[in-house]
Amino acid sequence: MPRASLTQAASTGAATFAALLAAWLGLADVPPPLLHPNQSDGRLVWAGPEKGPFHAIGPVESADILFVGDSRVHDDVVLEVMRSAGFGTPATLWGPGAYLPDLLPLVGAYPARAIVVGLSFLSLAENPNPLVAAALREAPPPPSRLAAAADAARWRQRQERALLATGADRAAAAAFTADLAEALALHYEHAGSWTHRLDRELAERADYRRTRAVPTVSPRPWRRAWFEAPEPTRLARWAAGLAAASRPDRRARAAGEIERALAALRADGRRVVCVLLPTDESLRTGVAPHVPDDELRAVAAAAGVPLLEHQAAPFGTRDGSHLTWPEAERYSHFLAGELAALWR
Amino acid sequence: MSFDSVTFWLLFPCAFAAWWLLPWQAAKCVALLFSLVFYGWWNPWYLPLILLSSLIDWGAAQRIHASAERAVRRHWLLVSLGTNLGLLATFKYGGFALTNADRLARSLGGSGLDTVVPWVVPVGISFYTFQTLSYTLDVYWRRLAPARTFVDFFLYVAFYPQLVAGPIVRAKTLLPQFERAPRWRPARLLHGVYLCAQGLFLKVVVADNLAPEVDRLMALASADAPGLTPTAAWLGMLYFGCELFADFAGYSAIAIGLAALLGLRFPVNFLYPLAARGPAEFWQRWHITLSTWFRDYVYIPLGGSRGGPWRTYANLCITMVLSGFWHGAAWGMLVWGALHAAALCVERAWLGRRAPALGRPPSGLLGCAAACGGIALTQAFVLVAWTFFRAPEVEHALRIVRAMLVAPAGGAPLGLGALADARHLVLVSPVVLMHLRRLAREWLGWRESAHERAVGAALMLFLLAVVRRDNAQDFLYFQF
Repeated sequence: MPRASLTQAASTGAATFAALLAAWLGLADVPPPLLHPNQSDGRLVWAGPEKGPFHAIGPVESADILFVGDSRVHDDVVLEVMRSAGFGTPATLWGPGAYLPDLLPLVGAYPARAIVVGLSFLSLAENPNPLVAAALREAPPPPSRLAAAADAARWRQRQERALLATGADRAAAAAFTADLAEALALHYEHAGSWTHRLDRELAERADYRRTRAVPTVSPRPWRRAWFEAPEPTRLARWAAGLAAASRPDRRARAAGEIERALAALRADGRRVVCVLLPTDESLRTGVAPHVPDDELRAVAAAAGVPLLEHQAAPFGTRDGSHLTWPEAERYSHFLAGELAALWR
Repeated sequence: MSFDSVTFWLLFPCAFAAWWLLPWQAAKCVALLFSLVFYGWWNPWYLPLILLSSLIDWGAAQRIHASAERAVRRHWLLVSLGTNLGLLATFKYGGFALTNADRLARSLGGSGLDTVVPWVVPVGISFYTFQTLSYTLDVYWRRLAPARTFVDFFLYVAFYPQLVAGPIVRAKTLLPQFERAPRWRPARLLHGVYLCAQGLFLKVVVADNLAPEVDRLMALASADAPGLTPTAAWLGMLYFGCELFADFAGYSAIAIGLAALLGLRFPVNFLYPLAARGPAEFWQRWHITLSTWFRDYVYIPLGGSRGGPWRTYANLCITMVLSGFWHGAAWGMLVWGALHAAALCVERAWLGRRAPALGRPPSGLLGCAAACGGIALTQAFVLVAWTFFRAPEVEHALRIVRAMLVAPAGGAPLGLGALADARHLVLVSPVVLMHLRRLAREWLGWRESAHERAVGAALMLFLLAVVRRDNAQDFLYFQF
């Protein structure tokens, strides 16, 4: 093909691409996704025998500031924002419905000098999902050089047998251990060779930049991203039920353990802050009669740790408990400002 | 390292620059080094395997070529075959053998075995062992002179565009291209860019976004859930057919595109297989480098079609079952291969030389109608057969097949409600459009201009920019 035609064809392609992108940026009114599009759950970590698993996002082993708590900390704190806010390297340590008396002792093992703990009524209630608690208690082996997958298979087999021994249904156990295998693959990817970690880091950074520059769509949560409005009252009944079922004596015991863990962190010279993350009013109204915020205030006060009360701050949630992604970004800037003012 | 990773595309420009700017011998050495980094990125501890396989095949081929004695030549051929097949048997089929030995022991009342082998299947082992096997066999049959230097040979085996998941490039295709530096041709470079864009689009936009829907079907089959309706089963398998095509054809397109960017030619690996009008034509279009490998190194040496119909059917069955087993160490793969063998035999017995073949367009309206019917029937068969390829257990595959074929005949509810939620059909549409474009070319002689291709590439790059990737997956053929 003559060189002139080639140049023309290449120009046609470049012009078409530029026109499509310009039209998309100018005309497309794609609502931003409700969830952070790139943030994975992170690798699995254990605080000790039968204490875990929790998830670690970012370089927890070398982070300067560590955000600790349940899924709301995972969803509401955008690490990229914190990174640009000048606190050094941020990381998150979280667990679904994290039981803080288990999670907080793990924090002491990491060198971060600043710790931000997200408190909620779930911090005082034990994990309500017995399947999760039973199946994941044994930490997986460190990945071996030749056969990380084989180690994972053995570990999965043991978890499945343990589940079956507790009387779990065979199909449920199989489905659950398949999820475990997925979580473990991710765990090994994070904990394994530096090449895999580098791949993941680069992919997440590139995706984050792309998502900031271009409104992106995803066919997978298609409906959620495009057609579903946030539903701030969705978890209100569930949370109220959970709060009503929690026993005061257990909460008091958990509160005591959290106080001691926070005090130990302070005694170690760490800057510790507790924060009540934003929630929808419907959720707060349902929980307050059973687990009043005063219980959480008392924990922070007893440990001598400042408490940032953002529970009623005007940030939009997608389900009453977790912020939407755009709101999480906005809130992260707000939180960064509050932390900077506190530590100035 | 994978073609769909950011890391690869950050490093490739360095490899590209070294390839074109350095003196030819140095450029090949840098390409070899980059290939080893590319492979070792996954797990460097498996690099000695590929080095061992290459060293033995290199040495065996030199001795086979140098000797005129049949016994010596045969001896070295056996060394090469034993090494490559031994590596495959150990690393790929060891776990499968242990699992079945364990089942047998338990059924005989024994205590069973530890069925987890202390290694994983090394990525790409099926591809590079087949490449080195074909090299030694070609040298043995005097079809090929051995490579001049070990660097050339090792680069042929480990060359990063085709190392992990093909296409299976024969030595006679690639080694001559390593003899002198390629010429810089802008048209080839643009073609390479187009193929890379197409491949990435197929993988990142189509395949990775279809994968969760396929997983959902497999979960239904695993739990034997009531949601496994005929509509859900057909939709799920349609998604899988498109996912597999987009995944593997996407990988092949990137591999061929990278080769084009380096001024080299790789053989075509996929020729729009969803446009096949019969099983034989399907295998002329699907994973062509593998099917021609099996044709040249298994089917024809077995006697091909030279020994009468029954011998031909037997040869077809052996070849296809072996091909199924090559894809994975599982009973489902054997069933999948056997199903395709049966379909090829039936087609051969029924249509003989009238069977549709590649490059023979239908004539007249009736011919077009028959061709369309042939495409529909072939694809329906292919989708049913894919169940054994994808499902982790034969039992799960049988549940899906029952939902696809038996349940509707038995009057079970069709579950048409699943169609209302079939938004992922949007992802199937690019695959269908690509095939319609190909049919227009094959049947009507329509050819797209360079400008139309440029617009197509721009559209694919645009979709790559705006469609999110929530479910990044390894290329499916890495596991083979």
